[in-house]
Amino acid sequence: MDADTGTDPSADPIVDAVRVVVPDADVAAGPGLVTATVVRDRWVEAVLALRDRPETACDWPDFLAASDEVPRRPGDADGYAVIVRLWSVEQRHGVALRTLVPRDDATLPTLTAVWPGLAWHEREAHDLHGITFAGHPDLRPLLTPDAPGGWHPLRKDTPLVARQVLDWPGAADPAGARGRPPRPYGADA
Amino acid sequence: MTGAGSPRAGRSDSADSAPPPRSRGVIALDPAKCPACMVCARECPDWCITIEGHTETTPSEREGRRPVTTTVLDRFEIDWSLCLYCGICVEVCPYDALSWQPAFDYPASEPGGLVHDATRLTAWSQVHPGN
Repeated sequence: MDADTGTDPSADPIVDAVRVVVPDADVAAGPGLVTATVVRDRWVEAVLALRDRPETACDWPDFLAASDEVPRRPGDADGYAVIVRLWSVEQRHGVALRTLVPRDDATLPTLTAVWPGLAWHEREAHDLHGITFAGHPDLRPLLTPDAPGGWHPLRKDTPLVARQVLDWPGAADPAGARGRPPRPYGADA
Repeated sequence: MTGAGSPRAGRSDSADSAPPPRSRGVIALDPAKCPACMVCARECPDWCITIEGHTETTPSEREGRRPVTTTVLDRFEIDWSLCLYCGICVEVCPYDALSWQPAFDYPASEPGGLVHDATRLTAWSQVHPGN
């Protein structure tokens, strides 16, 4: 139940439509956003189905982005998630299609053949998360410097340079407390 | 927005552009409440708070008791060039020594000019004393 609207998000008709159009997707309904997760091999196929089937008719790509998924509990996703939000101009509904690529092989087929306008979105995801989009016409860095070996600042294993050049101010101990405070990420051990 | 007669924060072109009294413009310090416990400096995600202090020992007022040790604040600085205005320091302060103030207009022309010491941070608490 959505506490704001008093409605059940899973009762949204788009949820059933997505289950029909992409039968192998893991569909989750949250307030205002329906998420469908597919395996990497079905990425382009699922996008085309969501675009072309009349049940969904998601003909407008809102955005494409990536996220570094670090598991917190056993069974959580581990890898880089790529999300593309698709919207139906006609039917005024949308779905966020999501897939997971492994860290040691962060590649995904490009969607630029489906929508050329996603080229910059994929370049941005390549910049920030180091995901290689196979078949992309031009993966030159868009936002980040062209560092040798690549510099992907939104990967969670990328060092925070500012913390390497600063001393952690929390290390001071005016009261002379016993023990050491837990150090945040990047502070000298 | 603030109405006529409410405290004005910093320079603004018209009364309508004055920020609301509880907006996140700057963080003020009440040094009398701060025992240099370091909680804010350790929670700050941007490492922009620097605190120095020392302990002072005074004899107990009652006979036979141990002397009382208190921590005294010597230096408290916020570097506004690092601060991301998240307000975590205000939230975590166990002594309510930090408060949001609506002043926003404090540019600097020299390097380091955005580091405010305890005197300047204390003066901000006069912008909207109720915060």
